[in-house]
Amino acid sequence: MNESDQLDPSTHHEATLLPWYLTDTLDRQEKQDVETHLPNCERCQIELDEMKRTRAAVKASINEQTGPSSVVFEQVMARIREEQSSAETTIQRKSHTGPNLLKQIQAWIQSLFTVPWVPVLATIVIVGQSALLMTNLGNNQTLPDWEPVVPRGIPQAPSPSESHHIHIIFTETATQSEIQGLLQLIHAQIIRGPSLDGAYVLKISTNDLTPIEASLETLLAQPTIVRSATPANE
Amino acid sequence: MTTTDVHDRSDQDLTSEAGQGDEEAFQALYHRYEKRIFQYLISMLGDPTLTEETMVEVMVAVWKNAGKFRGDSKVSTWIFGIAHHKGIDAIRRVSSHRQSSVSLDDAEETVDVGDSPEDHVQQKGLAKLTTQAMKDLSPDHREVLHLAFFEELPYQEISSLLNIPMNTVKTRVFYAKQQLKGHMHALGFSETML
Ligand SMILES: [Zn+2]
Repeated sequence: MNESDQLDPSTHHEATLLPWYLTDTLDRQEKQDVETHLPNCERCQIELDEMKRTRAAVKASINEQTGPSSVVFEQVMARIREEQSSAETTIQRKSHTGPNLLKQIQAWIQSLFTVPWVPVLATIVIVGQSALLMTNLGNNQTLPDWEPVVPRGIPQAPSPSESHHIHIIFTETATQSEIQGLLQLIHAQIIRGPSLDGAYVLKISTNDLTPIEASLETLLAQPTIVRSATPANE
Repeated sequence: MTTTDVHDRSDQDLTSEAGQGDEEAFQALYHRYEKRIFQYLISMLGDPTLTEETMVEVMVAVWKNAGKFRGDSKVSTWIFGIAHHKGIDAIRRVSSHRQSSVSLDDAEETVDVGDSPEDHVQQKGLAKLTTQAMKDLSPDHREVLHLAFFEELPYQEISSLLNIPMNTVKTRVFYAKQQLKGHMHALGFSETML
């Protein structure tokens, strides 16, 4: 993402702490490190001075922004009410069976993958069953005349006309929130996995025309979260 | 519903009440955060119209997901996290549309090459000059400067909000500040303005 974020190797570590020294948000040890270093380093003193001025300028610039117009609030409330009434309609229609029910099961299964990152062992059991379900039910389905709504859920990825798939293995140290954040960033959902070697299959919505290479690049730029990521042919 | 005035209730309480469908609580939460989220998104996106559109998406997502908020982080971190993701979505949408990275150029705001930089600075003042210089930074750089300098978030919190390593936060802020300084000087900024 930001190859340019490499620093000149001669930059003092303390210099990179200065923004938080200014806002007094360093822990005690780091604050002490900065305070010990500063009197002996002219370069960092200059840096601190510049940092102060730049920060004042940035704050002045942001403070010029007074806030959104009231139209935003009206639109938000209109959307909320719209969603509420459509959720109610959906519940009324829930008594239908057939493909709609299957679609709901599928949505429910997928929500397991996108929302809470269930511990891997528990996932294996669920995934084993759900992978079967999805392969059996997921293909060649005609869209129902209404979309199942999971009321008040995390917004599901839009149904794209086309999608990419990626084989991915996460590192052992990757946390739930790291993985979730990364998947949201590239608009991906886990649709299958883990395999015996711990690989998952991601589906990436491509309605924004992001090339798969860009998604792979984003994933591979996070070596602390992603061990490997390769395109998968689905 | 408690009898306490909504404005006296904590973010946590408002979020949990909004999660149960309490519109009044949601509205109080909305008004508590509207300015900060708008300022954050406009730092990231630059364009006021795109910012307002994105803000609608953020706040609708806050409403929809309030019931799932478990209090593992501060409410503010949670809301800023949603805004971060929606902001990235907006940048992607705009970039794919324009076939280039998000351009914040605004004909009206573009520096008139006929003016000397000194004239330009005097006309616009420090805040305007900084706004102009910020437009030449990448969205990533504008975003970290906003979070570190304006929201005054510790680097640990920025790291978890943006889902990037802590060292990347430190180097990114450092580098963004260097870039911004360069752009400000190019626009005629001098140290005497502060
Ligand atoms: Zn130094």
